[in-house]
Amino acid sequence: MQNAIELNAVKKQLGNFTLGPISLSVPKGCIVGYIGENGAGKSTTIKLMLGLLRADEGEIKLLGNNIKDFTPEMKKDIGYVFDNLYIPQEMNLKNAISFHEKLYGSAWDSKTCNSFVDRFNLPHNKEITHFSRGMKMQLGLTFALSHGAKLLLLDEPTSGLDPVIRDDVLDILLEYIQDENNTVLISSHILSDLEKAADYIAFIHKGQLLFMEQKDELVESCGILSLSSEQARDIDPSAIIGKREHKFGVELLVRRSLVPENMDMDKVSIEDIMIYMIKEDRQ
Amino acid sequence: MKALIYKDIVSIKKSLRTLALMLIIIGIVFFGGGLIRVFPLSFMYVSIILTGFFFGKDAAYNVEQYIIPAPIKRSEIVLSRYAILWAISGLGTLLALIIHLFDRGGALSIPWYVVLPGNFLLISLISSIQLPALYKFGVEKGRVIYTLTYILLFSGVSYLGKNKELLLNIVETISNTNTVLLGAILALLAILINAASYAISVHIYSSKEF
Repeated sequence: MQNAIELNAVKKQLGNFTLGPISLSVPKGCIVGYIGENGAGKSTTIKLMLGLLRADEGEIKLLGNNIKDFTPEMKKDIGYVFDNLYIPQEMNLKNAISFHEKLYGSAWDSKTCNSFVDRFNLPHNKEITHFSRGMKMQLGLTFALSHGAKLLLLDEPTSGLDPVIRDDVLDILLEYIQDENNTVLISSHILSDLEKAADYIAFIHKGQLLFMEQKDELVESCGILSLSSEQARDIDPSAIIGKREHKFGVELLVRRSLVPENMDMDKVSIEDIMIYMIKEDRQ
Repeated sequence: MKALIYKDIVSIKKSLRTLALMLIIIGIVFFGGGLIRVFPLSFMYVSIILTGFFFGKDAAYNVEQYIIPAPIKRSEIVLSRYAILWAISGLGTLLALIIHLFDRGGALSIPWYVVLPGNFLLISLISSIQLPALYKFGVEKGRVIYTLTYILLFSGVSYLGKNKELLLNIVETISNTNTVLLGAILALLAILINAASYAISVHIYSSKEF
């Protein structure tokens, strides 16, 4: 099956920061949560995919086509949403829709656009500058979904939004993914959102992709052990992914398959995995 | 490209009214001072001011980050800006032609085939320099260029205003030369300068990262 996203040994130098080399394959028909701390390289990766930055090395393919060979027609298959709506804020809804109609030509689907505008109850006569952050995000998502895109690239779309709007956004992504030809890559700091929607989790740290695994398998394969310092010494070091020490003992993030089955373990969240791994690296 | 021109016009629609009012006032002042034939050159200011507005808005709202991944080539994004510049230059040139037709008794007797390319060249000249500079250095540093060109223009117009004899001498010299050849040279210069400016801007913009 053709991958929706393929990054092969992609490298980019930006000042002191180096992204990659990163290799990543995202199959069609899934939602990938792209996680990592601030400055880890999430936005840089998405910018490379969107052609806003150019890779120093490696190859990027979206929907089977090398982005270097992208034609305007191919770009219509890619939808994108950033953490803000980067269009002139003097536009009102009518102007903004008109702009997108002209931009996407025959690919523009007015019916879909209008249905989202009604669903989000977006104001018609207000200038975008007077829209709330949530409204801007809803409008951005409306535009991204109104030209038949097969791949959605979302860079921190839910940051700064209240839980209700975030939930709406996730519901829409889950509806979108019902079509097995559609794929979503979403970067976010709000890991609970990704836990709800993502099929895969890709974790980037200091410009390196540490893993991309199925979310359920990832969560089920790990556990948290609360032990005394003495007990912790008996654990196979290869089982330990991360460690947190406190005055009562230690908490270990471990691979379940590498520790004795009779040990009591707490369930982990994606957030636990990310925090433990980053802190382990800092130590 | 239509989408980008639409976006640019919508984003500055409020400023356009002020600009139109400014043009009317300048027109009245020029008419009163007997310099109505020079008035179309004030469209030079229009293109400089509008270019500044467009780049300023794009930078303020990070618009390029939104349009680069959209289904449009980078060369078309640049072309949309030049299309507006050329439209303004065309409008100024058209106005110069109308004034030329209705002001035949004036002191300045330059044939139409010199008036047309001459006006187009002068109106588009500064923006042809300004646009590649804005693409290369961005809007912040571009503002310095904008200020310099503005000072240069203002000084030039003030100087001509104070030295009408010089202007008349230039016109007389032009009248005594081969005006057809002069018109052809001006037309060629206008095409070459604008084409070179566009090619340089496309080259700069194609390798730009956001």
